[in-house]
Amino acid sequence: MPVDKTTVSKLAHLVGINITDDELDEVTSRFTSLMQELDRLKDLDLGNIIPATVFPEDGEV
Amino acid sequence: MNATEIAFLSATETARAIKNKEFSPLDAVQAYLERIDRLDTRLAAYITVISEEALGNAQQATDLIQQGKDPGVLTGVPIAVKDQYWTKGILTTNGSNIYKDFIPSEDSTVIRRLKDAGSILLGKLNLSELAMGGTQNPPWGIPANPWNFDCTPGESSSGSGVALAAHLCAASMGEDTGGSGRGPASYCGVVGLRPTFTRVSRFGMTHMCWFMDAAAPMTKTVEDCAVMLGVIAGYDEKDPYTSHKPVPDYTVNMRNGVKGLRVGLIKELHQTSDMHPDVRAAIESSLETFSKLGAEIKEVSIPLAELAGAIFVGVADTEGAGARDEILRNQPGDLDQASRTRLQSAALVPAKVYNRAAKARVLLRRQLMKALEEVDILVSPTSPYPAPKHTDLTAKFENAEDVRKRFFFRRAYTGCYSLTALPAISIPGGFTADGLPIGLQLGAGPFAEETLFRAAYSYEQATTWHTRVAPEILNA
Repeated sequence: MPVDKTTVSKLAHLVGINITDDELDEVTSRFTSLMQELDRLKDLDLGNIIPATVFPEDGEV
Repeated sequence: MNATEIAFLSATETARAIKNKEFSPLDAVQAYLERIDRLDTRLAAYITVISEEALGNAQQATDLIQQGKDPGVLTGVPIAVKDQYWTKGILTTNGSNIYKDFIPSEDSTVIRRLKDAGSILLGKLNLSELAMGGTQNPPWGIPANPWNFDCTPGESSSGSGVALAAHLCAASMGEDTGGSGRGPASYCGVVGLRPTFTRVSRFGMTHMCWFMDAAAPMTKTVEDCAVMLGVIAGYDEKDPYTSHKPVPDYTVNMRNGVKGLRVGLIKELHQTSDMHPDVRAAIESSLETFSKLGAEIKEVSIPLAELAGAIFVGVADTEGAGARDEILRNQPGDLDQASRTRLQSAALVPAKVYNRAAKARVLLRRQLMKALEEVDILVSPTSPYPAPKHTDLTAKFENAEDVRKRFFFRRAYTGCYSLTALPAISIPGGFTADGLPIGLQLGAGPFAEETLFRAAYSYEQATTWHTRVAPEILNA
């Protein structure tokens, strides 16, 4: 779902970061692309998976 | 042996020659310092060169050897390290104006261990800002790929790749979060290892993503890499995530050949139409080489591999934005434009999306571990294309598809191992028709670096890629 510049600007304000007008297009493009790519993960069956930050040495999670 | 011949030796050849008194540590350091002085203005590999200190340490090492003492396996070997590692009393910039005045009060564990092994530090190497990649205006110059000065040497351990390919040091330490060591190794035609995540201490290394950052030896040869890993690996009480597993001598089994080893081509990373044809040909040729050496070749499937780039960015960039929150809020203008927009976009990722990426990471690990039940070594290129031009790398993204192709796609190749804490090595795998290096990436299971070195060494010795010198450097 494409995200427009206004939404990105509002999100940035909520998060507490300032995006300049001349960089808003680039940030919007990057953010939109990231969300589009990560949207593909919605199709995965991740229901029974617990996230891990560090994997155990014996290999299995 | 003249100075150029000394500088073109590998680290282990240098150590051996010094031990045999063919030349002294002082000779070696002087040889490299002269080359740095003559060539680095154009190449921008170094941020800081510590000539006086290096010469002083080299003299001390020379004196010790004259007295019949042998401080260590890397005695007298001139090395350089990515400016991401703390070095006591020496400027450590992380490639950023944010740290332009930062002088650490202690060495990182990796640096201390390399010094204890007798190596001589020549200086600190250039890198992309905060080890992220894509820096548009690096404060200390744009590192040039010795194989084509108009091309990037890769990121973020750019200076390490350049310094090795131009023979401005005998060995180097890079760092690898998502491919920052292996990528420059690939583009510069040298060796770069990402060890198993908990194999080497990260104490004293500026972090991008704390659970994926890895100290990455970058070297001229596979043997050098095996020696370096042996020096730096092992438990460190200052990094509680380091493993207590004993550190073997990684060179012992390195020469055992690959007969009977099972080598698997990752199907999903090979099928893509976006791969450069010369890279595809090089990978296929490498499988023939492995086959001739006695390895068993098969194809394996890792379905999530294609999404590894997106998963990596979703996790690592978001973590990086969190780690840099204060900088983003209070001094964003001190960041390079590319770093700033990248972190800003990552700072907006919703928690549920991050959580989904974190879960996908576990699924990817399961797929890789399953594939490693069928094979001992996984094969892919390190990058699906050779080094792009600087202008192509740093051009602003035009649209979402442009971001996908230039930002996510290549990160899938190295990201697979970064995300899953598994070791992987990039070794010279050929050259394009235009003379640009191609990196062959081999991956293995947890703590299977010995198997990696065995496969990498066999391939290296069966080919001549690692012996080539960039024409501009050969004639310099």
